[in-house]
Parts: sequence; structure tokens; C-alpha cells
Amino acid sequence: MKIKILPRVFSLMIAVMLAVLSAVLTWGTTQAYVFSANWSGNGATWKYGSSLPSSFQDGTSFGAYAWTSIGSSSWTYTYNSGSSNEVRYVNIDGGSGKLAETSYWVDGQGYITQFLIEYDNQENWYTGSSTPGGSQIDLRSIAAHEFGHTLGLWHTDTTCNGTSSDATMCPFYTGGSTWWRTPATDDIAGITDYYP
Amino acid sequence: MNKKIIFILFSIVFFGALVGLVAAFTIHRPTASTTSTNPVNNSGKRYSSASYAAMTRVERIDAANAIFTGMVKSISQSKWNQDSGEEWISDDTTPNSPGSFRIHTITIEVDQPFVDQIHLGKEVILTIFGNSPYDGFVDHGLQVGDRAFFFAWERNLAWKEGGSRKTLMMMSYPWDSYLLYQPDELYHTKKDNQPPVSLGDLIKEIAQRRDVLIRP
Repeated sequence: MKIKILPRVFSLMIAVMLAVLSAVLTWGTTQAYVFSANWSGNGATWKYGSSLPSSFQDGTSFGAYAWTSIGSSSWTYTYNSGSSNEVRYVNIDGGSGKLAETSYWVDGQGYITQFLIEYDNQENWYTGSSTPGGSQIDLRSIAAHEFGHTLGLWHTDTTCNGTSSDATMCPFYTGGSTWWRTPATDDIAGITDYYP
Repeated sequence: MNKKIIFILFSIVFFGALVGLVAAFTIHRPTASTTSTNPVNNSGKRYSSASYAAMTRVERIDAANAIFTGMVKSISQSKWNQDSGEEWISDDTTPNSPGSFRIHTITIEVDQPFVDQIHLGKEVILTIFGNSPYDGFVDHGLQVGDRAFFFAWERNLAWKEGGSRKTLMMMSYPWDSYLLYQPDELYHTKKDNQPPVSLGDLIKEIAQRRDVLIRP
């Protein structure tokens, strides 16, 4: 090998090492999603339960669509009034505390087969598409979070600070905020991994 | 030293470092395979998860009905919000019907109460939303034998048999409703990224907002 080309080879080697090192350092910070189970296919149906007020329909639909509209994932939610997957409006624990609950059933192969979302009817809900008041609970945000659970996404291991950088699958919602409406990088990595 | 030897040595270091980085990459990567457990063979099993209202420590201090230190004596299996504790599904036809949700309890041996509006005894039972550790995917990290600083409040828990049950619960998101006592003799939070704090500082913090009970 000509001695003259050695500096170029060294430079190339160092560049490769830096690229790999960069990948190592960034990987763990962007993929902290947690999966508990997943659907066998890449889509499911859902419907409004009879207890769900009509004023909750738009916000709920928004939450389902938040996961359907991700370009890197083939996942789709389709509304179907005959679906066994429901969204209900029930009493849970009074105001604040728990805002909503998602149950999902998992079969012997580890696949999700059905889900039920229940909103707490004692909360101070904001059902519009604009910005909620500081003490209000944004339905679109909570719907997006709960539909995330129906995909098998558990609460993320990424850092949650109650700020706009929080993932949709962070476990606690800051009153008046809207950032859960749009899945964050960590959420998108999760749905793309399981439903490419 | 001969430049050829230098090149060979550098190449060895380069490939060694590359292998090391790739290994670190593989180990470090917290993908779904390392952060989740696919519950295969749990045929037809129902899982529960939820969203909680955010609460700061100050908000917990203000709203708590009981603040105390203690040790976890036992953790129950999962049960459901009805008298029998068996799984059920909510009725969607009755207005304001109770939701069906999974809960579990932890029994705590109380060391010292600092705020006590509920007359804490030597033992207290705290109810927590969601799966018990026996079912996996739990919203707290407590284990039997853990010593911690607890925040608790009374909630009106909807019940299948009608009405609600006054229940002492962890405050909102369970992970942030306690601080775990660690060997460094400080109390640590898990999820809210607050620095560990001493018992004395916690008492001072509470005393600024509440009447604090201090036993001799």
C-alpha cells in the first residue's frame, strides 16, 4: 500500500467510528416506547358506545386518526358501528386523578383481539379543537393517548416533564395542554416498529 | 516505527473499537424486545392502562389526606371494582354507570405520619389503579420490603354495585406518589426527575404548606 494514501484511510476509519458512535448515543434517547402486545394485522375497527355524548365524537375520532395518519406506519383505524371495540363515558373516580382507562384483551398468541376505552365522566373535559383552559382536560389529547394503548403501547420509558416535548404515551396529562394530540418521535418509532 | 506497522496497529485498534461500538449499540438499544414482555400464552387475558392528571409534589402535599413513611408489607393480586373483586365489563346503557377497572392494594406498615386526616393505624391499605405486579405492566415500582415516603388521598371510587366507595389511594400517577428510601438514606423519585431528598427536607417542605405531625 502506498504510504501517501494512509492519511485518507485513517480519516475514513475515524469517520466510520464517529458515525457508529453517534448512532449508539442517539438510539436510546429516541426509542423508549414500551409494547405489551400487538394486533396480528395492521388495522382495526372501533365505534362510539351508547354512553358517549355526541359532543365527544369528534375528539374521539381525532384520537383514532392520530395513529392512522402516520406515514411510516401502515396502521389504520376504521369506524364501524358494528365493531366490538368501543369508547364509553363512565364514572371512575371523581374529578382529576384518573382521566380514562383502556382495557384490551390478548389471545394465546399474544395478539390483541378487542379493546374498550372508558373516559371518566367526572372530569372537566374540553371537547373542542382549539386550546383548552388551564384546568380543562383536552379530549383530543386523552383520546390519542388511549388509542395508543389500544395498539399495545404501554407508558413510555422516555423522560416525561409535563412539557411540549413529552410523548403522547407519557402517563400523566398536564391540564390545558394539547401536545399529546400529535404522536412524538418515540410514539412514531413504536407504531412503526410494530405496524410498519 | 515503520509506517506500515503503524497502519497495521491502527487497523487492529479501529476494528476492535468498531466491534466494541457495535456490541454497545446492541446492548444499549432499549427496543421493544428489552423494554416489554409480550404476554404470549395469556389466552384471553385483559390488560388495563390509563392516563392520569399530572400532579407536582407541591400539589400532592396540598391535596393529600395522608402523608407518611412506611414499609410495604404485602401487595395484592389484581381485582376489579365490585364487591366480589371479579372481572366485569361496564354497562353502556345506563347513564352515569360505573366504569369497570382493575385495581390492586398494597398494605403498608406505617412508620411515621406527617399529615393524617384519616386516623392512620399501624397499618394502612392503599389502593392503586391498574395491574398488580403479579400481572405485569404495573404503574409503580414498589416491592414487598420497600421503605418509602407516601402521599395518599381519599377518592370516591365508582363501584359496580352502585354509588361509590371512599377509598384511600395513591395520588394520580402512582410512580410519582411515593419516594423510595435508598441506601444513601435519601428518598428518591422514579419518574419526575427530581433530585433525591432527605427526610428532614421533605418535612420542611410539607411544613411550609400543612400542619405537620412530628412524633417524638
